[in-house]
Amino acid sequence: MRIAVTGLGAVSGIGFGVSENIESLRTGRHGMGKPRFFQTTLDVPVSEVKATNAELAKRLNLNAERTYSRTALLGLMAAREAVADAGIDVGKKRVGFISSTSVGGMDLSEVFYNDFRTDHSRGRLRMVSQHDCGASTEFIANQLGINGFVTTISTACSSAGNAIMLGARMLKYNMLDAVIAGGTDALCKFTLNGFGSLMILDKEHCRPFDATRAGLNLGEGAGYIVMQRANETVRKPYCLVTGYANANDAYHQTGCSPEGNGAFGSMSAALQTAGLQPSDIDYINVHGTATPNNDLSESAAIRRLFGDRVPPFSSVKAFIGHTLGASEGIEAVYSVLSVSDGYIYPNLNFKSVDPAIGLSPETEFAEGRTIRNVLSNAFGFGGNDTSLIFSKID
Amino acid sequence: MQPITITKSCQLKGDVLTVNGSEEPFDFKELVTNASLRRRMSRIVKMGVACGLKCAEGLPSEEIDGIITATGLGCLGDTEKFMESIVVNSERLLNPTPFIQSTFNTIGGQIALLRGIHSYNVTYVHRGLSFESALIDAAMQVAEGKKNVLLGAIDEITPSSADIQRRLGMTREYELGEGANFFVLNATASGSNSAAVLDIDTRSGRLTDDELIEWIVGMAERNGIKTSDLCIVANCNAATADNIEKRLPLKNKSLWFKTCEYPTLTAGALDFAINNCTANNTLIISDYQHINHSLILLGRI
Repeated sequence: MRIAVTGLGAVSGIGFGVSENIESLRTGRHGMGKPRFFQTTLDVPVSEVKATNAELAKRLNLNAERTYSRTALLGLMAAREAVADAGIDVGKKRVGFISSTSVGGMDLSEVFYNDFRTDHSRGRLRMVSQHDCGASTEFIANQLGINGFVTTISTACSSAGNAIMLGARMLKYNMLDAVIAGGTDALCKFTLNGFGSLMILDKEHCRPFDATRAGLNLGEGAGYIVMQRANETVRKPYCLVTGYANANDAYHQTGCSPEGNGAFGSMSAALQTAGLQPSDIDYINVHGTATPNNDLSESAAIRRLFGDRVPPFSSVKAFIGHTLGASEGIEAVYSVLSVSDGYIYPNLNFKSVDPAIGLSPETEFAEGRTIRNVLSNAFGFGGNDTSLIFSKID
Repeated sequence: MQPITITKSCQLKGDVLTVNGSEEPFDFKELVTNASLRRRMSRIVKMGVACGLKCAEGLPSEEIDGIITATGLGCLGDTEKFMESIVVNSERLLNPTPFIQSTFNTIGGQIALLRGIHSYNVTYVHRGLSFESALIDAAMQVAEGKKNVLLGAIDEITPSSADIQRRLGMTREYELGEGANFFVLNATASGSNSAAVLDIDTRSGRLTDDELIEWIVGMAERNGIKTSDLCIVANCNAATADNIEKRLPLKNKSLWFKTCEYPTLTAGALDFAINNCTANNTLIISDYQHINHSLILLGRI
């Protein structure tokens, strides 16, 4: 059974909507800057979506008087675009919504907590009632009018990859007729300080795969794709989802093994699901967070799988930052367009090859290439590694 | 959906661990021998890891093809600890441990790490349907030919979350509960009289009594089972349970399970049903806060 991608939606620090995102990637316009939309004393670059919550609510035609978590607003923006793009009737019973997030409504909870911590009878309840991860998912599903299966996944930075994988499997098993899958995450003090405490934030603009890379930059946003069985689509599909796999590194709660065991496992198993050989992959959208550890481990896994014939690859993290629970949602959108339009995205800020890696990513935007299959990686805390493969329709 | 069997069930409530319904003594120090690792673990992580490791005991790591966990609210204790440290230390020199362990997939990740399990690993975090989502995924994994899947659910009460949920009116009907449950699922019916999951369905939003009855009858019909032959495990409030008894002619007496409320309580109801229902077909009816509903149909193989 063939699973087709029929709709795309994305919002990130480099654009509202898919075409703005691609235009930024094409022109090399990144989203990094000092934090403007949430309060922090940390002086590190982040890729924020360039709008306040009130502006986001207005763009979405929502009642601006009400309180929404930023995670929910970003998610609704991207999911709505994806549904409109696919032209599906979401009111039908077997349309599912599978979302993912790493912190849910934490942006509101931390405001609530300031009042609550010294006196548990204080703090506005509307600032904490959207704390749980399911809250943004239910909100988006309600706004879209989805009555079918709705769920939320949270496996840190690989969350959205797993949401897409679950969606594809549920279509395959005929449990759904269409599914909107991806993820959403808003920046907040909690996450920024969390990564800060791990000392993996670069104070400068991040440099994935570069010899001088010194850590990651965080970002926010949302990305969803609509999937349907290939013979049931309304519009001409972009491409197929042919491969997916999830493996565990089982090495360390936050670090990756030097041999990239989990990454090797998820990439090879994804190829197996797709029935493809390494030589069939024409481009890899790497996880490439720009931490010394991730890029070294991921490249070790790539070398193990592809030998001396490593296909063109790049990381978009220097454009949009690491968007955590949203990352594979947004990057799946980019990967889909890479297959359908032959795009290759530049890995910004790469200047010198790391001798320990010995690989150079793509640094120029390209289009019209023949890209048969794209491999897209997302790795997370807890050793959770997920790989997806998007393929051209013959 | 092809039937999947549940060959082992473990539950941890307070200090009491049960394996297949029978109490078993356990020593957490023997399960997690690394003292500094134990010290770093919060209460919910200890609960989940202990229950998960006990459930996986006896299975070689390479025969565990998936670890699927569910939690409605995740590691709240560590989340609050890290939030507090951000405020108190003004965002400077923070201890990363509570942040690391606050992620929702900590327990699944820790079990994989401690047992060296490299297979499929995912965590569901969708309110009162977290466990149901995990069960659907586990059923697909088994259908995909996976040997054994470790499926678990964990939620904890913390003083802060109890105060917040009380203020939100979420404790009007029931006091809050907590617990850890794990199961081993596979395709083969090893051992006689294993429970099998035949069907599962979920709904969100308010359900009227009529809609609930129609839903139950529909599930029984599509599985070729007479509703009168069902043993009902009512993981819903007493009024709903009474109404079901009145509306459906049941041969077996319904068992009322629900005595507390937390998002993954359905996992406790499943443990209860497996170990207490002797009828051929059991239906677990769950309701979380009247917004999340599920039906789980069990059979005997």
